[in-house]
Amino acid sequence: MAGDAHEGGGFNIHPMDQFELKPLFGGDVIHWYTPTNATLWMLLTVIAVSLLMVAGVRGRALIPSRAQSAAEMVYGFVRKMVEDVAGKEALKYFPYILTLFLFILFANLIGLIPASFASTAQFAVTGFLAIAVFVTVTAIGFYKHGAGFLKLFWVSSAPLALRPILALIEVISYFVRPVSHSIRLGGNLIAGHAVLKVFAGFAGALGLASVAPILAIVAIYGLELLVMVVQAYVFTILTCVYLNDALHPGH
Amino acid sequence: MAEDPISDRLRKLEDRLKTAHTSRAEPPSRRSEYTQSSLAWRMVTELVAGMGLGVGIGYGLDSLFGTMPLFLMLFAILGFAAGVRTMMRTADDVRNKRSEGALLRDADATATRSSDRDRE
Repeated sequence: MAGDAHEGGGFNIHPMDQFELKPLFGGDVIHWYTPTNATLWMLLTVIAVSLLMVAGVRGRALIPSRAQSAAEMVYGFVRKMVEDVAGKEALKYFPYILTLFLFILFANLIGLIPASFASTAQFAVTGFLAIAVFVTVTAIGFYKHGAGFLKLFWVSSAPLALRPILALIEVISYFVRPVSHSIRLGGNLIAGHAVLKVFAGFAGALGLASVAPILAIVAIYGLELLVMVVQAYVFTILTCVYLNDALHPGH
Repeated sequence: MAEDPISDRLRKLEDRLKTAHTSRAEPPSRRSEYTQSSLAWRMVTELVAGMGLGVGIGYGLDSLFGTMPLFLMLFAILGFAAGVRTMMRTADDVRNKRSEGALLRDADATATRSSDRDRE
């Protein structure tokens, strides 16, 4: 144990190494089509979601099995959220929102398994999710209301002279939403995982006294579980809020 | 004569129940604490993202038209205003318990529900 500490020359902690993308099948050049560890873990996420939502409810039993009741609970929870936040018309888009929620939730939770890879800690992943939501919601807005959707940016309660400037500000703040939407999900994951790694580094370097950092890791891990679920929830509910803005502009 | 000691004992029991309830009241949940800090982070991100977006747009326009500091300054201010605007909207959400503020409402609701139970 002491040998390890001497070998590393004191603290030898690399908290950001865990986010590094590596090609799955050797080589060190990453093209856009190269399968990496992020690809692998996102695939595993999709498999886990399918196991719960497809294989879990296969029985379609009147008295549900454990997996089936878990699947039904998630379904009911997200459905109620969509209906409460964005109204009955938004239920048309419920499959998309449920997919988003399940993907983010499972990716977050799978990323917490030791030695796994947190795919939602990549800004490329969260950014893509946020941009997909942004484009979808904007397209729905224009499809439903045509040019009337632009009323969202036209503050009719302000004096006429100020309105063009306010419209510009509103447009910029409309574009702020996907940025903060994605940074928050990715940032929370990166922060949590890096903190865990730093404490793990302490535990490796302190010898017998490493009981303290190990206890701290247990506590942080519990908090991280909460953070992962809440972040998935927050991403989904913000999607619902944006959808609501697109369906009912001018509110 | 026979009723008095019984009601006395009942009152004592009530007192003991009350102290037991207060001593076992659940501590305020960690969840609402976390949600508050998460909301604070959200507002900070929105401010910074607004400013950054404005600066980016300004810089892009300037390098297009070759009018270096003009649009940069203008859009930095506009971006800042947009950030503040988004942040105020989030604050509204919190006040109306909409969107992420709904998490706070959940925590409040469980707190009041448990205190109701105590009162009964």
